[in-house]
Amino acid sequence: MVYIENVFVCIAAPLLLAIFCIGGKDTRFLLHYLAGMGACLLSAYINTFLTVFYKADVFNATVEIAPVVEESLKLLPVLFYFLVFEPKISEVKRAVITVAAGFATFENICYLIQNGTERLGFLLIRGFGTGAMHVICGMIVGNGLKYVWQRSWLKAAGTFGLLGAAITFHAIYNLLIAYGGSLRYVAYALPLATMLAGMQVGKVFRAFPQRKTER
Amino acid sequence: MIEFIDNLFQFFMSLFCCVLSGVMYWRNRRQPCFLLTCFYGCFALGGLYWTLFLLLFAQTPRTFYVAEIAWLSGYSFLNLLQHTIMDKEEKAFKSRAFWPVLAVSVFLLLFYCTFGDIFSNIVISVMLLPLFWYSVRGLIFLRGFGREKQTARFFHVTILCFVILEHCLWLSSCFWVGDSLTNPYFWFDFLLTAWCPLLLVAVRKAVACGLH
Repeated sequence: MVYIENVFVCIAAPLLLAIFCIGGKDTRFLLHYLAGMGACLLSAYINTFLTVFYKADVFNATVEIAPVVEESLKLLPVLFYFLVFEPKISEVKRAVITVAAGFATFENICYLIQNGTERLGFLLIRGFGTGAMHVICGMIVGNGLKYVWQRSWLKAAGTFGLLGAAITFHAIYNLLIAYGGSLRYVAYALPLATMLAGMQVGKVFRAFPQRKTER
Repeated sequence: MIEFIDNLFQFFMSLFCCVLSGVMYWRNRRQPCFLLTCFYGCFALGGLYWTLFLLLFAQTPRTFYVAEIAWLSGYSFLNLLQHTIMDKEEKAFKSRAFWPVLAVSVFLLLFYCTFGDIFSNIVISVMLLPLFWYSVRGLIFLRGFGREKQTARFFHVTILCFVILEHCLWLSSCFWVGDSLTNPYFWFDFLLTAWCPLLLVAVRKAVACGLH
C-alpha cells in the first residue's frame, strides 16, 4: 500500500520552503506546481471514494470516473487563482499548464512507487504519453480560457465546454490504454500528435487576418 | 450493432455540422455561428467517446458521466445561442405558460428518477428547462406577429423539437426493448441526427435576417 499523502508531504516540503525563499514571479510558478500536485492527491481520494460508491471495477474507474474527477480538480486551482487574484489574462495559459505539469509529475511519482523503476523504455513512453496527456489537456483548457475569459458572455458556458473537451480527450486516451494491444501505443502517441497538430493549426490560423466576433 | 451504427452516424453528422458552422463563423464572424460551432463540437465529442466505447468494448458507459458532461456543455452553448438570437422585447416578455412548462418538466424528472440515476436526471432536466421555456415563450410571443417573424418562429420550433426529442429519448430509454430497429429509442436518436442540420439552417436564416 502506498501512503500518497506521505509522498506528497515529502515532495511538497522542499517546494514550500523554496516558495518562501525565491519570491517574485517564480513563487507563482511553484505555487501552481504545488497546487497541481495537491489536486492529484485530492483526485486520488475522490476517485477511490467514487469507485467504492458506484461499485465500479478498475476498468470503469479508469475510463469513466478518473477523467472527470482529475480534469475537474485540475481546473479548480486555476479558477480559484483567476476569481480571487484576478491576474492578467495572458497568465492563464502558464498557470493552467503549470498546474497540469505538477499533477502529471505527482501521478508519475505514485506510479513509480507502485510499479517500480526497472523498465526505462516503458517509463519513457509512459512519461511522454500520460505526462504529455495532462499537459495537452492543460493546453486545451489554457488556450481556451485565454479566449473565453476575455468575453463576458462566454465565461460560464465556455469554461464548462473546455472542461468537457479536456475530460473527453482524457477519457478517450484512457479508453485506448484500457483496450490494450497496439491501440495502447496509439494512445501514447495521441498527446504528442495532438500537440503537433495543434501547433500547425495555430500557425495556419495566425497567418489569416484576425477579426473580432460581432454580436 | 444498430446502436453502434446509430451513434457513429450521429457523431459524423455532428462533426460535419461543426465544420460547416465553423466555416460559416469564419466567413461572417457572427456570435451565433460561434456558439453553434461550440454546440456541435461538444455534441460530437460526447458522441466520439460513446461510439469508441461501443466499438472497443461492445457496451455503453454506465458508471459515470463523461459523454454527459460534453453533451451538457453543448446544452449550455445552445442556451446561450437561444439567448443571443432573442430580441430585447422577447426577453422581457412574461407568460403564465412557464408553470405548465415547469410542471411537465418536473413530472418527467420524477418519472426518470424512478428508473435511473437521480443526480444525472436532475442536472439534465435543469439544463433542458430553459431551452424548453425560452422556445415556448418565444412561440407565444411571436403569435401576434405575421410573416416578418417567421425566421424567429422557425428557430424556436427547431429548439423545441430538440427538447421534445431529448425527452422522447429519455422516455424510450426507460423501456429498453433491445438492440434492434424495433426499439423506439433508435427512431428518436435517428431523428435527433436528422435534426442536427435543421438547427444549422435555422441559425443561418436567423443570422441572415439579423436576428441577434
